[in-house]
Amino acid sequence: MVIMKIMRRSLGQRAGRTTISILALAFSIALLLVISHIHEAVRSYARQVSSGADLIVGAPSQPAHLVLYSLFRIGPPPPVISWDLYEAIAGLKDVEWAAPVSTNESHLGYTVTGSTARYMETLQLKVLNFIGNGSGTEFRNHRSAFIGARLAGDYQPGETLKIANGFSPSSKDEYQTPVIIQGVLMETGTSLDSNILIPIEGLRKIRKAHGIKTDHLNFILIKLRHRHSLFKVQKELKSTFNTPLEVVIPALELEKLGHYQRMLNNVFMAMSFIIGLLSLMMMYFNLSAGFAERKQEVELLRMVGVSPWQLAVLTLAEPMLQILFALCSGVVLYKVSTLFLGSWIPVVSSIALPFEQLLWLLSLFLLGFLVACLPAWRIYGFSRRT
Amino acid sequence: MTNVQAVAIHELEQSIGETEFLRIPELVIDAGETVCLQGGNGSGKTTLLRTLMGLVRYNSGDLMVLGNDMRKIGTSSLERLRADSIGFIFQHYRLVPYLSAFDNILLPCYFSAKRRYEAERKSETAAKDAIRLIRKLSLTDPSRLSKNAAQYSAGQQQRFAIARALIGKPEMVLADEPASAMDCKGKKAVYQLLQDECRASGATLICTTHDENGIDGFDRYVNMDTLNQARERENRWSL
Ligand SMILES: Nc1ncnc2c1ncn2[C@@H]1O[C@H](COP(=O)(O)OP(=O)(O)OP(=O)(O)O)[C@@H](O)[C@H]1O
Ligand SMILES: [Mg+2]
Repeated sequence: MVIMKIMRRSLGQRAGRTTISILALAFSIALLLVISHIHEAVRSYARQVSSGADLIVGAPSQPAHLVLYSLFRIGPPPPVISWDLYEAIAGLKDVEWAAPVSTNESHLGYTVTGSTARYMETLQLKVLNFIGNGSGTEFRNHRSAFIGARLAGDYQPGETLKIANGFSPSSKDEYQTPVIIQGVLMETGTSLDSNILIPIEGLRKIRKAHGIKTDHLNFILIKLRHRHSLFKVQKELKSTFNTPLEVVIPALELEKLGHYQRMLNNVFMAMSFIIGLLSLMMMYFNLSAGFAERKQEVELLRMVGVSPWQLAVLTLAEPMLQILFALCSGVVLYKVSTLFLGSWIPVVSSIALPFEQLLWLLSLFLLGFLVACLPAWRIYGFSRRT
Repeated sequence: MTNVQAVAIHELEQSIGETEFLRIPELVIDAGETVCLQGGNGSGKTTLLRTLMGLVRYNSGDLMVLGNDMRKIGTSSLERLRADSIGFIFQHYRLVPYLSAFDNILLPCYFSAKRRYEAERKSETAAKDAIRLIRKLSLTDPSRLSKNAAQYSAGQQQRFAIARALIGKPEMVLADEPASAMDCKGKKAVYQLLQDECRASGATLICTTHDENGIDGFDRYVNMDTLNQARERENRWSL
């Protein structure tokens, strides 16, 4: 059919001029998808992790800081609190379990985290390549250690590590008892990947062997027996002890943070939406710039008997094909980039985008459809008159 | 030929606002007649041909083209009239630049079954008829028609436009300066071909030119400068 030939050739002829706008549109579509993907993934990860612990206790500081550090290792470690506090809290009748976490030791700059298997479960840490059997996150003995994914290149399970007190230790700060690597943790994308996790009981023994009398830790995760006692326990913890404490509900704090994250996300979405709009405008101007030259063609084609609707389809098909092409390559670009993102920020992989996130895309596409219709409609009107 | 008169004009007037472009009291062209419209720049030749095609509307008067009253003709019958019965050569020839020269010539056959049928009847296939026409316009190597139309010289492009107007035996051929881009030899060949083809098929030929001499063989010569009595002539350049 010669109409198809005309369509194809005309598309080919104008392809050079429209490449930029197609690329820009594809880019903005991919950007929209990637941004909402990251947003969704981070949200669902945060929701999962924060559901593991009902309360977090630490020395007085910013609530957001405490939550971000204890769950995602964002920011500096909070000041230490004493071990006695942990024991008192763990003994409360409302508390199902409490997980003490200490991050005061280091090995060659890598943070050493002393905690329990509970903590690892709460953060949903998984172990790859471990010695022994079971789920893998159980410490086999007091001197076992799990290393973060980023250390896996340098160390092997079975090797020993020496740890030291503080982060710029002198030789006298180095503990004599080494720990033995039991397994490698799966990548999380947080700075936990460059951590060494050891059992806190073991850590206390090693400290004692080194002559450190006072046991300290940085924060405590708490799971309650009943969630309805949440606020009661929070109040209790703040008042009963004679040391001032920060007691936060991570779900609430993350909700507040989520508000900012949503705002930020919307800004990014709006930005990529604007890129999309600009590329559609570019597309439109390209189309209208060719309009005068199009008119001549239309007059000629009308003379040989091409009907107005055929001409309208011709003019509609061109931008529609371009937009469809941009859409497809945008989606492909998004799929490819999430593959890369997945290896960069592991929490980002494998989530399904919810429908609301696709609304931006849909509205962009509808606008594109309008942009495509406008010149087709003008051509239709013009060819009706010739 | 069912109509004795191919074109009948009576008191035709065409203007935009105050400016009048065409005022033709009377012009009748018989079917099968070959007419040459001569006149200076801006005398209204192109406007007249476009009016005959229904490309521009006229304000008053009567215009019959191949038995159709152009005032009352509907969109679809006008479409059929143009596609089936009229071969038009634009002053600036106008080819679809991204189609091959060959496709450009065959364009009317793609959209009019009647013209395709006539072309096939004449030379077996429409393609062969296109080659036959282009041969007559002293373009000797028809195998080279596959390049995009925009890549040919102006004279060559005009030849394709002429072949496009003639293919499929239209009832009327309207040629607006069909030889404007031709060399001397080409000019003669163009007028010769137009006349030959139209006489052979009994088609009416209306051909405009501002050449004073060297044009012969037409049944009738009409001077546009005297025919068109439009008041407003400030745009007209006296030569
Ligand atoms: N669409 C239009 N709008 C305004 N003026 C027009 C239009 N069409 C034609 N004219 C005017 O009508 C007059 C006749 O124009 P036309 O193109 O018919 O001349 P022509 O005889 O074909 O001249 P040429 O030999 O240069 O081709 C001119 O003065 C032109 O300015
Ligand atoms: Mg003219």
